[in-house]
Formats: sequence, structure tokens, C-alpha cells
Amino acid sequence: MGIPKGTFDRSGTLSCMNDGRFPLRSRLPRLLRPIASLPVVAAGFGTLVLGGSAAQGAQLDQVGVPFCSGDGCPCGNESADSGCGNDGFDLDPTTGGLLSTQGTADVVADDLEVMASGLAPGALSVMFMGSPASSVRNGDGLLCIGAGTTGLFRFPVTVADARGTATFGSIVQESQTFGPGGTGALVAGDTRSFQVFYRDAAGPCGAAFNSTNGVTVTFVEPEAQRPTELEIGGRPLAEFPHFERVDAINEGDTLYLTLDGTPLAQAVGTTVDLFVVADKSAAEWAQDPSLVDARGSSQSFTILGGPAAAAIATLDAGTLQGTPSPGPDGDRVGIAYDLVVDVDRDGLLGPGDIVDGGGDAPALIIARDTVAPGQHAVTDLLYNGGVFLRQKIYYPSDIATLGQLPLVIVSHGNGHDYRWYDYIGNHLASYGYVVMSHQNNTGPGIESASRTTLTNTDEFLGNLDTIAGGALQGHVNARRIGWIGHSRGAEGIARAYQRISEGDYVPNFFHTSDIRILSSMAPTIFLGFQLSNPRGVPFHLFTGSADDDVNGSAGASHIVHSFILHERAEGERLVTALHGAGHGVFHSGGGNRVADGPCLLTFNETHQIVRAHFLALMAHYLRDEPGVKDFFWRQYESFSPIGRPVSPCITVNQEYRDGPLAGNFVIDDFQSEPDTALASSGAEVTFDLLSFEEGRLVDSDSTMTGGLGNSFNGMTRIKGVLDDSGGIAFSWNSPSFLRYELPIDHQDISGGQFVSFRATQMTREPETTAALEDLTFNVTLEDSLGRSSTINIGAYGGGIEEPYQRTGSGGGAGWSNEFETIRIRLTDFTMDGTALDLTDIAYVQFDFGGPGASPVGFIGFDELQITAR
Amino acid sequence: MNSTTTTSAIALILAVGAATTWFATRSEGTPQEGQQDRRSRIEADATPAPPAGAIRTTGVNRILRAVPFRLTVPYTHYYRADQPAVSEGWLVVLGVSPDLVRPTNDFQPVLYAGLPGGTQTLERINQGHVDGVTVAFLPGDIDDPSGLRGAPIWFGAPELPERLTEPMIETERERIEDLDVFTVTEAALRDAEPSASQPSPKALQLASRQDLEETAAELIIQYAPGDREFAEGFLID
Repeated sequence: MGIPKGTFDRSGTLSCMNDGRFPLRSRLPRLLRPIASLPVVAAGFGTLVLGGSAAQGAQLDQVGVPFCSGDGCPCGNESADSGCGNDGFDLDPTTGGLLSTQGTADVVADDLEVMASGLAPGALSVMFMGSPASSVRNGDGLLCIGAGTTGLFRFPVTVADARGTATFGSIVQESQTFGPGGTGALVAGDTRSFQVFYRDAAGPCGAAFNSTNGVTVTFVEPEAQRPTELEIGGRPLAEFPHFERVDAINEGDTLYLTLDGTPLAQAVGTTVDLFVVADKSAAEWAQDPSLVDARGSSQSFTILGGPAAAAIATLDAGTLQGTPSPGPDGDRVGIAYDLVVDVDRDGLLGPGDIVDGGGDAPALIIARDTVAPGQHAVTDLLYNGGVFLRQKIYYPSDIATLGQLPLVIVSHGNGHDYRWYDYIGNHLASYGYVVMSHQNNTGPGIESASRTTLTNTDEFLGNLDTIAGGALQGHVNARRIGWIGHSRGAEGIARAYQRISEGDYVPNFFHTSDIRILSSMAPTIFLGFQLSNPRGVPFHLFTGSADDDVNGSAGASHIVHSFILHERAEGERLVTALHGAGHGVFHSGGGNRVADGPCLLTFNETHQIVRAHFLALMAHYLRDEPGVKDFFWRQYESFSPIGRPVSPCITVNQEYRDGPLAGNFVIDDFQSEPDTALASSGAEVTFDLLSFEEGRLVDSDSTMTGGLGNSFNGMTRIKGVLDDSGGIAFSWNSPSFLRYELPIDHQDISGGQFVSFRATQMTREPETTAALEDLTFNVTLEDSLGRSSTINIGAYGGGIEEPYQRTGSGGGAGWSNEFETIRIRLTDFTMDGTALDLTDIAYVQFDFGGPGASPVGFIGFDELQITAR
Repeated sequence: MNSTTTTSAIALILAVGAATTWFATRSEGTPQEGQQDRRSRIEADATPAPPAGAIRTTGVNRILRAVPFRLTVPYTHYYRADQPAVSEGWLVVLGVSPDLVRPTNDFQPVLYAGLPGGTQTLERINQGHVDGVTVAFLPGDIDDPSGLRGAPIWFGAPELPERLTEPMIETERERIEDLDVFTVTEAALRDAEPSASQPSPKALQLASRQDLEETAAELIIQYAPGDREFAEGFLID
């Protein structure tokens, strides 16, 4: 964790500019323009240009953190990887103005450039600096910043250059006149958000002006005056890279620190002081650099050199508090800490020291037991607002003493009841959320269900003065809403989001941007891409592999293929797949679990997993709590809630993918380049695998029987022609490889954070059933000098899980394929003295079937990228 | 350098002005479905129902109650695509095959009735699989002299009712023409609707659908006690 990558830990800047865009444009435009008719050329980081340059993409190491993409735009001019669509440079209303940064956040160097690209050449542009705010439609775009606590300030009008880029520089200098007496001037530790408004005379909505996305920057001291920011907290591993740097550990677990990979690793004989400090923001560190150890006292550590294990120090044997004390911070998922290596041993954080968490984000959190209830007693009540406006409401009993709380709304499925979600309502309310579960009109279909989600959200927010005798009035934050749905209701929330995004329904009391997260439990997929679509909002999916209603069988109708909804999501997207969970266990109404298959989970087991996960989801998306994201992607075997059910039957597979604004370098999306010898980024691809095929992620023969030559057996990710998720599938029975040669101008990946991909064992195929266990393989980075470093994906625990052993829908055992996301920190490849130059990586290679890896396998593979953070 | 208080900032003026205009002109919590050809998009984009199987002639096997009603405030009948406003009809209690009403989130068979004024879809209130009894709203002209007499009631092809157009509904009617589906007889109606034999059947006069739902809930508790908990959800204050 720590401050945005590249602020401290980069020795240089990237030498190449990104002058392209992401290849995954909004898919709606494909209706308008056959994609095959467009020239596709390789461009900058993770980008391709479709039909000519539109906007500059973000560099992997940009210090600005992007937010507020073009979702919920005024006239359907959506653009998930920039601001709302404009006429702009490329005259294409499906691409918008992209705000990105270049340079550092050093307040003395003042070399930060904020660039708005994709504008019409000569477009008048003005940049504002302030705080993030809920986005509201404004002109042809969205207004995403406001005065907040920082004030709102304007930079001089700038004109876009011939390439359609307006560049704002000398940010710190310009800020000196902001506010009365220069009180708005930027200093180290300040965090500010930026957004550019620009003239777009022929814009799609007719307002003649538009806006980019926003970016947030934390400003820092000059490099010589600040410590080095590195990630150093985590846990040891039994094999290379010998240490896993993490953003969260569980309360009671031992916390370690490593100096491996830091400049100190080989400073043999040097003694330093190690501190665990209660989290401070960048501004707090700037104001007060004193080191106060949360353990009572610091510890000294003498560097011995030698193997990686010798660079690891035990910081705490599990005594550090993770459960916040009751009070204002008592609802948090964990307690945040910063880690400091005080090299000069002066008790102050200063130049030459190493810090993890020197920015606004902490080094890590110690997580509490998220299965256990929170600090509040809960009050629930039934509310009757009329026809299909009956609700069950849960809130902290002491809400009168609390501020504005995020709102979570639950939409049940067909044949279910709005009073069947106590396990969600009680749990989240005990952590300081207001939860409302409503009567849902699922019988007629998804349109009707979506309508009741919308009308109930409005009904609730519009009657806070009367509900519960007015107890909630002033205590519900309508700008922070999460929608949860189950089954038809789970598809309904996606349809509802689409409707408000398109203006098909205009809410009275909330905006599109107030919906911060959708979570669908076992959703149906009745509607097509254009109607049921989470678009750019973060989308989470729960599936149960034993579901006997929305059963997920590749041999059944697409209506029961829940993964399709996830594949449509263009923003951040996540999956939590539970082996053994039926359809009924996602509610608490009792009765039949509606389940089929082995090792079935009980209601209680499922609820333990689900409620803890909802708590993490809401903490991350509704409260911006740090560290929680680890719950979304780390292998469940190595990191999961303390109070999770313990049983050999518990298998949880997770997927996580960043949104397109994140600035990731997509090596291969497996969708926009059909040539198997070429990746979407332009990387050359070689392999010696068997049954290698690239295609759409759909089972083509409607049976899950293995061994029939169906390379995408058991895939259920696609429905109609507009659903476009693609991937590759291949097998091996001897040592084999898959190798990507990165284009020359993409070889500096040092500003990135993880190499990330998703993979799944292919159900029922003979190579899968040959060994029903976690499957592992090796990932290698090789630089241009031929130096390489290899990590087995099993080094962190787990691997690619075997399919759920359910029968039916053809011969054999196994169910529809569940991908798992694997993310390996790039710096892990440089551990233990490995000489590898991340600024010059020529190859990313995957080796299968060799020593330490699964000898035989058949997998699906997708979403290969270098993440920016 | 200027602060935002400087009114010469063209974009800010435009931004605030446009935002104000937008806020001032937006409609209030109203479905804006007329703005787009929603229905045609649904038809073009959605998955069709599976092929209609054979009609189960015993899907509906009896009528236990038929209570005519009138509402002061109409409600929208979402169980067909044209979504008519309903101010009168019957609250019916039907004996049904449990397997046809078993809860699922997949397609379910749609319940139809052939009325003198045309074929109508019914809105089932409870599932009914536990007791084999479902309570439903049947919109219709309760002043028609024949009322429910001779009306066939049957489960048609699985579909999402909100997608049913008039031709689709009539197709379902045609499918039963030569079939011996359940039909409301005079005798059955006498038992189900005691006032039916009177020249002017006594209709339940209710203020709104909410009252109708509460009445339906009472019938569910009486005839389909397996759905009692569900019915109680309609009876909260």
C-alpha cells in the first residue's frame, strides 16, 4: 500500500509516452461502427488506438489517482475509460476527455503536469482543483469535484494543442495565489483532486462543453527531504519470493517486515530501529514526523545480509489490535498502521528512512473478525409505503449519536421475501450501515423488479422524516448507496442502474453516481447486453456452485449463467464463487437450500462467508476504508475472515479486475486481436501448448462432458452477440510454455504494481480430472539482458482450484468454470538479490508442467495485465 | 491566477448554469420509458422464452373463491406488456398443480383466463406450491353479464409476463381451443362467488390495490396456509 506508486520508489521516469487508449471501448459503439473496419495500431501503455488517436492513456506510474469515469452521462455518451464521450479529437461520441498526470508530486520540483487529452484541437480548457464530490450531470459531462474542505480553485484557461491535449503545469506555483492570502497554496501532504472542463462545440448532448474524469494527487516533499516509500509489511513464504507483502493481515496473526529488496538489504552490520506506528496521513506525517510505536516501543534490527530469510523481522506476534475500540472509528474493518525503518535512529521519519504508509493510505490494516457482529445493537422495523413499497429496515439503535451512515438496499428474488435478509441487515447495521430490504415485484420480470428497486430507494430516502418516527432523518448518506440483489432481483439492480444511467428513470432523491457498488447474488440473465448491464459502476457477483435454480450449468439456458452479468461490467468487477452453496442459502428464509451437488454448505456457513464479504465490500466502496481490498483477491486459503466456517468443504474462488481508468497496461485482453501470435497490446506470443485456442468464453456444445474437443467446455460468460468476453484455452502433459514478448516501448513496467491474470481449470476435461487439486504453474519475468526471475503461483498459497464436483449436464463430474485472479507483485520478482531490471522487461512467460508445477492440466486464461496500483 | 470567485471563469459559469438548468427541469421520480422505444429494445435484446410445451389441462383444477372487486384508485397490471390500469376484476383462489407454481427464478408458466372481453393474464400473489392453491388478481369487467361463467383458466407457456403482447396472449388462447382445460362452471361459480347468481353481483369496494392485497393475504392464510408467512408480509401497518 502506501502512497501512489512512483512517488517515492521510482528511480526514473518512463521514457515513452502513452499516446493511445485502451482497446476495450464501450461495447455499445460496436453497434454503430463495425470494429473490423477500424485500423488498429499499437500505442502506449496498455492501449491501442481505434481509428486514430483520441486521448492519452495514463502511465503505469502516474501519481494521479483517476476517478469519476464517464458513467451516467447526460445523453448516453458513456465512456468507461475517460470522462463522458465528446466530439473532441476523434469526432467519436463514445470516447471522452481523459485526465492523467505526468511527473512527480514533489512540491519543490513542481514538475507535475496534468493533461487533458482527447479534446478538440484549440479547445478552451479550464482546470479546477478541489475535493472529490458526487458526480452530477453538467453540460455534456459530469461535475465530479467541489469545494469540500479544501476549497475550489481555478487554473488559467488553456488551449488544447494540435493533438487535442491541454496541459497544465507549474501546479504548485500557480496555487500560491489561491485563497485569501494564499491559504490555498499547495504544500507537502496536501491531497487535491483535479478536473478539466473544456469547450466541445459539437458535443453529443448539445451543451457545447464537457469535462474529463478527475484525478487525485497527494503532494510530497522533495526526494532528498523525504523517506523512501516501499512496501515492507507482510508474511514469510516457504519458497521464493520468500515474503508476501500485504495490505491486510488478520488480528492475532504474526506481522513481519522484510528489508529484502530494499537498499538496506545488503548493508551488513547496520542496525536500524523498526516502528509500527498508528496510521498517519501524508499531511499528518508532514506536520509531525515523530515515531511513536503502537507496540509500546520500537525494536532494533541488525542487518545480517545473506539469504532473504535473514532480512525478515518479526514485528508482532499477534498482539496488535485489529478490532477498533467502540466509538467513532469502531465500525472500521480493521486498524491501520504505518511501518517505518528508522535508519538514522533519531525517532523521526526523515530522509534516508524507509516508510510503508507515508502517504494517505496506511502500510496495512490489522483486520478484525468480520464475521462477528459490530459494535452497535440493531433496531429493525417493518415499513409500509404502499403497494410494492413494503420494507424491512435495519439501523444502529444508537443512530441518534451517529453521523450520516451509508445506505445498503436489498432486492430479493422471485419466490423470496423482503424479510428474508436479516443476516445481511443485522450484520451491516451493527457496523453502522442503514439497510433496507424491500418488496420486489419480480413476478412480471426484470423490468418490474428494477422499477421496485428504484421506487423503493426513492420511497425510503423521501420519507426519512417519518420512517422509524424520524429516527433516521439526517443520518442516512444518500450519496453512498450500495445495491444488493438476489436472483431476479440481482439482475434487477443491474437493470435499475442501467435505467437511471440512461435517464429511463429519474430518481427524486439520489443520482446515478450515488450508487457506489452493485452486488448480485446468483443473478438471472433474462435481458441482453443493452438492458441488464452494470456499466461502469463497481460490480460484485456471488455465485453458488450448487445452485439448483440459477444453476449455472453450461448445458442450461443462458438465463442461469450468472457470470454473464459480471462479464458485462466495465468498471471494477469482482466475483466470489462459493462451492456447495445453493440458491436458497443466500437468504435467511430457511426452507429448502435449493441445492444440488456434494459438500453442500449450510445456511449458517454461507451466511458467515457472505456477510463478512458484504462488510468488506461496503467498507471499501461506501467508506473508502483502506486495506480491505485484500479480501477481494488474495487466495481464500491464505487470507480470509477470522470467523469463517472451517470445513474441508469450504472453497471460495475470487476474481478481481480494476476499472479501465486505473491505468493498467493490458498485455492481452484476448478480445481485440484474433491472431494467436499477437496480443492486443502488440506483444508477440509464442507457445508450445496443446489444444491452444482463442475464442469467446462460451461452451459451444451445451454439454459439460469432457474430452469432446470443446476447448471452452464449461464456460458460461457469454449470451448474445454483444457479449464479447474472450480468452484462451490450452492443455499440456509435458513441460510447455506461453511467452509474451513485450513491445519495445512497453518494456518499462517498473511503475506497475502486479502482474495479473485470471485462470480456471477446464471442467471435466481429462487433463483436469487427472489430478483433482489446486493447479499451479510458474510465472517468469525476463529482462532484455536475459536475466529472469520465476515465481510459482502456489507460493502464496492455493492455486487454480479444481472444479466443483457436481454431476449432471453431461457425463462426468465438475461444474461450470470459475476463474480465479492471480496477482503477483512485480517487486516480488526482484527479491533475494535477483538481478532483474523492471524498467526493461522483454518477456512475460508462463511455464506449465515443469518442476514444482502441475504436470498435466487444461485451463482457460484471460485478462493478462500489469496493474498500476 | 484566479479563484473560483472570479466570475470570468467561463467553464464554471457554464457548469453551474447547466447544472441548475438540469436540476430545474428534471422530472420527479418518474419512469421515462416514453423517451425510448423500450419495448422494441427488450424484444431485440432479450432471451426468448423456451419453446412452449404442451398445455397441461389439469394445471388449474378448481376455483375455490371468486371475489369481484372495484377499486377507487386503479393499479397498473404489470403482467402484460401494455400494462393497463385496473379498477375492477376478481380476486380468485385456484387449485393448481404444485409443480407449475414451484418457486423459481427461471421462466414460469403464465396463468391466463379467457374472458368475454378478451384473454387476460392473472397476477399470482402467492406461489402456492405447498398447498396447491394460488391466490391471484384477474382484471376484468365484472359487470359483464357472463362474468366468469364459462371462462377457461389455464397455465400457458413459460414467459416473463411483462413481455406479453396482445398477439402473444391471443396465441396462448388459440393453443387451448381444442383442449379440455379447466373452465369455470355455473356450479363452481356459485360455490366460489355466492353473490354471482344475483342480478348485480356484490363487488368488494376497496380504496386501492393495497387494500386488495390485504384481502388477498387473508385468503392466502385461509386457503394456502403454507404461504402464511409470505401473506403476513402484506399485513404490516
